[in-house]
Amino acid sequence: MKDIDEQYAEFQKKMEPMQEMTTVAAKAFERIARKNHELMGDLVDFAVAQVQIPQEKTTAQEVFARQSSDAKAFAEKVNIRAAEYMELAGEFGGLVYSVAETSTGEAETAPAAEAETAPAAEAETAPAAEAKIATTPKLAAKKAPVAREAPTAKKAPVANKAPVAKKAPAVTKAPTAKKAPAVTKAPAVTKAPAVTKAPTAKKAPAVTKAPAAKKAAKKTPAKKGQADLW
Amino acid sequence: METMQQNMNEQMKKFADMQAKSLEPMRVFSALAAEAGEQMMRQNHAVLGDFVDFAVKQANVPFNPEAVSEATTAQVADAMAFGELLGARASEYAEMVNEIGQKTQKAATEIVAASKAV
Repeated sequence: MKDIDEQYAEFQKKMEPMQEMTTVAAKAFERIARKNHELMGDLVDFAVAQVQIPQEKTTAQEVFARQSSDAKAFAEKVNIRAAEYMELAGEFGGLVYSVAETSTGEAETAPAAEAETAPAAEAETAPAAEAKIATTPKLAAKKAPVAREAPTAKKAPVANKAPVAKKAPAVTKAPTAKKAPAVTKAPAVTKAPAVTKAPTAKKAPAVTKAPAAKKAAKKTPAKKGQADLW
Repeated sequence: METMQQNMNEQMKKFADMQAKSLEPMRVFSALAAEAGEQMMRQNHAVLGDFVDFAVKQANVPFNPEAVSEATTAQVADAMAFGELLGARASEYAEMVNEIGQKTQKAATEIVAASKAV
C-alpha cells in the first residue's frame, strides 16, 4: 500500500504534461480576475463621480453637461478595457496553443520509446517468439496512432484540423484510436496467443494438446450433458 | 394685467427661493450620504481585491509543493490568513459605520441649532 504522498507524487508525475496547461489556466484566471477588479474600480470611480456631481454644480444644466461628459469618458474607458480583454484572450490563446504543441510533442516521443522497448522485452520472455513478434507489431501499430492522432484531434478542434478529421478516412482510424485503450486490454491480446498456441501445439507433443482438448471436451460435453438432462 | 403677471412671477420666484432655503440644510445630509456611499463602495472594492488575491493564491498553491501535506498546510495557512484579513475588514466596516453615524448626528444637531436660531 503506497503512502498518500507517494501516490500524489506519482499522480503529479503522470499529470506533468497537463501541469503546464493548469499553470496557464491559473495565470489566465489571475489576470482575468485582476482585470475584472480593475474594471470594477472604474465602475466605482464613475459611480462616485456621478453621485458627487450634484454637490459641486448648482444648475441643472451644468449637472447634465457634466454627467454626459463623464458618461462619454467612461464609455471610452470601457472600450479600452474591452480591447485589453481581447488582448488577454489572444495572448492566452497563443500560450495554450504553444503549450499544447509542446505537450503533444512529448506525448509523441514517449510512446515511440515505449514501442521500441516493448517488443524487445516481449521477445525475450516469449517462448513462441515468432507468434508474439507477429502480435507485438500490431500492438505497436495500434499504440502509435493513439499517441499521434489523439493529440492532433485535441489540438485541432478550434481551427484547422477538425475538418481534416471529417474529411479524412482518419475517421475510421479515430475509432481505433479510441479503442486503443483496448491496448491496455493487453490481456485480450495475450489471449490471442492462445489461438496461436495451435502451431506450438502442432509442433509440441500431444501432451500439451491434451489438456486443451480435455478442457474443450469437458466444456462441450458438459453442456451437451446438461442439454441432455434438460 | 401686466402688473398682476409681474406679481405672480415675483411670487413664484419667492416661492422657489424659500423652498431652496428650506431645503438648503438637507444638502448637508445628501453630501454626507454621498461620502458614505463612496467610502462603502471603495471598501467593498478593497474587500473584493482581497478575495481575488486569496483566490489566486489558492489556485497557485497546488502547483508549487510536491506533497499533499505541504499543499494542504499551505492552503490552510492561506485560509487562516484570509479569515484574519476578513476580520480586520469587518472591524473597518464597523469603524466606518460609527464614523458616519457620528457625522450624521453632528450635522443633525447643527441643523437643528441653525433652525432654532432662525
